[in-house]
Amino acid sequence: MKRSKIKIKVNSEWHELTVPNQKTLLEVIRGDLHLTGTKRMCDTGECGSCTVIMDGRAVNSCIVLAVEANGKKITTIEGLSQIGKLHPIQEEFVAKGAIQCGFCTPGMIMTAKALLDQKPAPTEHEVKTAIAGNLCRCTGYIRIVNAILSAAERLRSIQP
Amino acid sequence: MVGMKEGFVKPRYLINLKTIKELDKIVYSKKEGLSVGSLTTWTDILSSRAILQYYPILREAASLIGCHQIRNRGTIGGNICHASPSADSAPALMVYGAQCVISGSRRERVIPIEEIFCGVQKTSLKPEEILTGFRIPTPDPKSKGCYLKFSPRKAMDLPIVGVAALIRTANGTFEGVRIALGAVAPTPIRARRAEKFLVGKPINDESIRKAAEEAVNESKPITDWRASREYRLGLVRELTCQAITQSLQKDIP
Amino acid sequence: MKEFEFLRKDIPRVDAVDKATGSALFTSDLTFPNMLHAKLLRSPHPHARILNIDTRRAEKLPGVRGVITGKDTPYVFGVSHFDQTPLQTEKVRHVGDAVAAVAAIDVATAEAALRLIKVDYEPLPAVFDPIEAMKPGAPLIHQGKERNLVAHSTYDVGNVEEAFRKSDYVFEDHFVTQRVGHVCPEPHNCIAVWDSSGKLTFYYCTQAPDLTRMQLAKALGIPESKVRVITHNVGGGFGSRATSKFSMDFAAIVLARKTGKPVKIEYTREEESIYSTFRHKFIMDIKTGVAKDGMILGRQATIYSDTGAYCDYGPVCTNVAGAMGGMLYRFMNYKFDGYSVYTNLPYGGAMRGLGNPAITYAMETQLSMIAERLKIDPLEVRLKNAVRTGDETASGAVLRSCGLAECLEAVAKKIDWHEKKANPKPNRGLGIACGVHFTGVRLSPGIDADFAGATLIVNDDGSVNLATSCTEIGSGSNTVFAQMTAEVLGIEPGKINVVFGDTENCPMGWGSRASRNTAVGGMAVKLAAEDARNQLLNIVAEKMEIHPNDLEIQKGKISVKGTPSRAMTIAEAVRLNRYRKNGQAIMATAHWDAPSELADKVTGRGNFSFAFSFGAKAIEVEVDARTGKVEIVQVVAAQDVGLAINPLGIECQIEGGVHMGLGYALTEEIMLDPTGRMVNDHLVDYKILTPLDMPPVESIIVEPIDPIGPFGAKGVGEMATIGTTEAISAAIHDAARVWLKDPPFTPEKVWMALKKKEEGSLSSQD
Repeated sequence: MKRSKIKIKVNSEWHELTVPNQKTLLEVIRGDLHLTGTKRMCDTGECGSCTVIMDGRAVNSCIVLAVEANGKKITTIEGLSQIGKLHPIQEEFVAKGAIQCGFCTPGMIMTAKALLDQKPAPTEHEVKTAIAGNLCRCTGYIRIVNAILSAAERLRSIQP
Repeated sequence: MVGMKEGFVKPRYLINLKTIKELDKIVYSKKEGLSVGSLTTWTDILSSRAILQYYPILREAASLIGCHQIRNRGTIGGNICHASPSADSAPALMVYGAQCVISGSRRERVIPIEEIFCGVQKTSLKPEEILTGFRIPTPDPKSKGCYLKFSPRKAMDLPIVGVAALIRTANGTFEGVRIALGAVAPTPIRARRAEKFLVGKPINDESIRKAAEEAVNESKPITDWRASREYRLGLVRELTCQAITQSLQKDIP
Repeated sequence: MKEFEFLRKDIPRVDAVDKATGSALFTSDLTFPNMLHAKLLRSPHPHARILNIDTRRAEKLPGVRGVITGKDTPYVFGVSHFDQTPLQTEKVRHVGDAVAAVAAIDVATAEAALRLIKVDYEPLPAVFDPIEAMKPGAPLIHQGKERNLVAHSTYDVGNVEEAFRKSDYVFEDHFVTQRVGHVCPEPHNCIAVWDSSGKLTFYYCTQAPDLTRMQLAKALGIPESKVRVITHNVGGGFGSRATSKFSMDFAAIVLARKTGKPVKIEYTREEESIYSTFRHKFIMDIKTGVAKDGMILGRQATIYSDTGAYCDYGPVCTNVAGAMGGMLYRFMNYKFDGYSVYTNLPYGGAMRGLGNPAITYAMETQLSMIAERLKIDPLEVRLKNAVRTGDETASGAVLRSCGLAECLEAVAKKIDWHEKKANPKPNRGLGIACGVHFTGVRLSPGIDADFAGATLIVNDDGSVNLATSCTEIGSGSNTVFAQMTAEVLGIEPGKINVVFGDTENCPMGWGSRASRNTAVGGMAVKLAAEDARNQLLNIVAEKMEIHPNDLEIQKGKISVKGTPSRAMTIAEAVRLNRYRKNGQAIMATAHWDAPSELADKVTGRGNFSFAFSFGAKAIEVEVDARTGKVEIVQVVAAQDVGLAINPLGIECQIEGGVHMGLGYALTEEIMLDPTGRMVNDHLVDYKILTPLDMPPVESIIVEPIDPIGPFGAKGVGEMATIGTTEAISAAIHDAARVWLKDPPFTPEKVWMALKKKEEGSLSSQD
C-alpha cells in the first residue's frame, strides 16, 4: 500500500506522519496519535460519533482520508478543555444530564462547538439541525439540545 | 469514500481534485446567471447570498441533504456525479435549466444537466473528463418554486420521492412550468408531459390534479424494501400537487 | 415523604466529566503491545453442511499469525439451552454463522486472509418462518428439537373457557411485531490476553463481567480463579451484552492462546446490526373476554417467537411475555402458550424489556380496540381493570407497591385527555397505554437466584471505595450507588469512588440486566454502607463510652445526638480503629438475593420479582392522510419508580426509552432478504430517530414507596420504553380511524390502510 507524508495540526500540536494513502483521519487520530476520545460507531459517515473540527468545520473523520487533512488544523474532544478546566459546552452537558453511556458525547460536543463558533445564538431548531447527523441511542436528545442552548447563553454572556 | 470502504469501489489510483481552487467558486451576475464550481460544498451553497436570492429551490434542496457534517464536505459536483436517482440537488438543478460544464483532455463541453445522467449511478462522462461546474441561467423574476422531499426521517435520509417545481403564471393561467422528479426512475427526470399539459391551463385544483396524474404516468419507480411502486406513485401524485400549489403560494422573489 | 440529604436529588452523573472530555475509556479504545486483530469468516448460506475448510492459503499470507476453525473451539454455550458452538464444524444454520477466524497484524490483513479460506458447503433446505418451521417435513435445524420447537412456555390460571362463556363479548385479534436492533453505539468488541501461567484476562464490552467469567471458565474447563474479566465504560447495552454468548469471544480467546499474543476482535457496524442479537419477531393471537362494562374476565394469548438459528434468550423472552401478559389487570383467568421456534435466520436475544414490549403492544392495542368497540373511554377501561397495591396478579406476582392508576391519571391530566377527546382536532388523535416491568427477575427455569453484591472500604481520610457487581452501561447506576452510600454514611457523593467491571476486585453478581441496578444492586450497596456505618458508630461509641444509638452521622462527622460538639470525623474514627493493637479496617461486604421465587412448573405462576414498576404513556399524533406520515405532537410518560433516587436520571431514562419506543413504533425494522441477509445494516438505512424527529417528552415521576426496595426504590430502565408503540397505534386510530396491528407504522403502511378503508375492504369492526 502506497504511503504519503502528511503534516497535520491536532489540538495545537503539529504532527508529521507517514500514513498509508487509504488510512482515514479517524484511524490516524485514534491509532497513530492515541487520541481515543473520538469514537468509531459506524465508520461510514452515518452517525457523527467521529466528528472533529477541521479548518473550522465539523466533519466525520471516518470518511476523510488522512492525506486530505495534510496542512489542516484539527480539533478533537481532547483539545476542547484545558487541564482541570472544562469548556462551558462540556460543563453544560454534565450539568444538564446530557450524557448517558457517553459514546456519542465527544462527537456531539464537537458538533456543538463548531455550531456555536459560527452561530453564537442559535434557535432550538438550529441546534437540532446542527446535531441532526449525531445519533444517540440513550438520551432521546432532549437534554443534549438543552445543554447546547445553555452553553450558548453562557458563552454569549462571557463574550467581550 | 463509503464505496471504497465497503469494497464496492476499488480504484487503482485516486486523484484528489479538491485542491483545485478554481473549482469551488460561486459567481453570479444578472446577465450570465450563476456559475457554481463542482467542488462547492453544500455549506458554501447555503451561505451564498446569490443562491438565497435567486435560486431558493436549490438552497432548499441543499438544506435537506444528509446532515451538517455531510454538507460541510459533500459537493454539488460529487452529488451529481454519484448519479443516484434520488440525488436531492438534481430536481432543483433541472427545473432551473442547469447546464454541466465538462472539461476533457481535448475540449470543454456544456450539456443540459439531464444529459449527464444515463442510469443508476452512471454518468455520461468519458474517462478523461471531469465535471468542472454548473451554469444556471437567472430564472424569470416572475417564477416561483419549491423542492419537496419525502423521507422517513427529517435528516440523513435519501428521499423516497423528491419533487421540484418552478412555475410562472399570468392572468390566471400557467404560463411556464417545470417539474422534476427524483427517486422515481433510474435517473432524475423532468416530468415533461405534466409540464406540457399544464401550460395554458387555468390555475385550479383540477388542472393541478391532472398534471400530477401525468407526472405519475411518466414515473417508473421500483418496489424495494424501502417502499413499494404503488406507494411511490401515490407520493408522486400527492407531492406534485403540493409542489405546484406551494409554488403558487410563494411570494415573488 | 421523608427528607433526604442526597436522595431525590438531581446529582449530575459521577462519570459525566470523564465522558465529556473523551477521557472515559471504553474497551474499543484499548490497545496492547504486539496486539493482533482478528476477524470472523461467516457463512453465505442459511443452512448448509460444511464438507471441508481449507485454510492453508490464509495461513501463508504475510501478516497472518493464526487461523482457527471449529475443531479449535470445541466449546458449547448458550443461554436457556446450550445449542451453540463458537465456530461451526458440521453445519451452518444461518447466513453469517461463523466457521473460521483469523488473527493478523492488522484488520486489513485479517480480512484479506478470510477471502483466502476455502469452504466447501453442501446447501440444505432452509426454513425462514416459525409457523412453517413447526410443520411436518420442515428442515430440522437442531438434532433433538423436533418441529424446531426450542421451548414451550405456558401459563394456565383459573378457567379461561368458563370466563369466555361468561363474557358479554369475546374478541380475537392477530398482531405481528418486527425485529428491531439495539443499535448500541459501541460495536461489540473484546481483547483476550493469556499469561504464561494459563490465566486469561478478557477485556470485554459487557453488561455482566462476573457472569461472563463464570461462563467462560466453565466452557474452557479452567478454574474460575484463572479467568479475569475487565469491563470499562460500555457504549450502550440494552440487553445485547447481557452475557458472554458470541463466537467473537471464543475466537479471540483461542487465537490469543494459539499465538501467545493479545487478540482483539471488533465488530463492524454491519456485524453489530445483525450478529449482536435483536428483539425477536413475535406472531401473537390475543383472545379477551369482557363484560359489557369493560371488565376483563379472561385472556388467552398464543404467541410464536422466531428465535432464529440458536435459542440464546429466545425462550426467556417468551417466558417473560407470558409472565407480563398476566400482570397489568385484575383478571384471574389466564392462559398463555408461547412457542420459541428455530428458523434459519440470524438469532435474536435479550433487548430492553425482553418479550414484554411485544406482548404489551398486542394486549394494550387490543384493549384500545375493545374500548372503541364498546364505546368506553380507553382511560376508563384501564382504570377500571388496573391492578393495585396488595393485589396478586394472574401471573402470581404480589404487588407490594403499585402506582398504575396514578400513572394513568397523571398522563391523562397532563395531556388534557378529556378536553382533547371532547374537542378533537382534524387529523389529530390521542392514545393512552400502560405497562409494567420487573425489578430483577427469577424467570430462567432452574436458576433460583437474583442477586447483586457490594464491597465498601472507608479510607483513612474518610473517603470511600465502593465496588459493585453492577455495570455502568449508561443508565446512571454508579451515581445512584454513590448517592445511596452518601445518604447512609453522611459523606458527599464526590468522595465516593464507585468501582465496577473488574471481576478480581468486584463482588459476584449478575451485572446490569432486568432493570435491577437501582434496587437489587442498590440494596447490596445500602447493606454494605449500613454495615460500615454500624462499625463506625461502634468505634466512636466505645471511645466515648456511650451507646451507638446515641450517635448520628452527617456531613462526615459522627456526633452525639443533641450535642454536636462531641464529635469525631469519620476519618478520625477510621484511623482510630486501624492504628492500634488488634486494629481493624472499616470494610463491609453485602450480597443480596432479591426475595422472589421461581415459577410453579404446572401453572407457571410465581412471585418472580420482588417489585414491579408500572407506567403509562399518553401520546398525541397528527396523521397526514395524503402521505401516511405520522407526526408525534407530544409524549407524556409517567412512571412508578418507588422512591426516585435521582429524578434527573429517571427522566433521562424515560426520554431515552421513549426514543427507542418511537423507533419501534414508526421507523425501525431489521429487513432481511429471502436468505436472511440483512439489507439495511447501515445506520442510514436502519433508521433510529434523529434529533429533528424527536418530539417533546414530559416525564412524570410517581413514587409509591416500595416496602422492600432500598429506600423504597424500584427499577426504571425497561419500563421507560414500554407503552409507547401501543399508545401510538391507539392515537393513529383516533386520528385516522384505522387500526394497525404490525409495527412499524411507516407512512406507507398508514397510507395503504387508509386507501383500503376508502375502498371499503376493511370491516366495520376494525
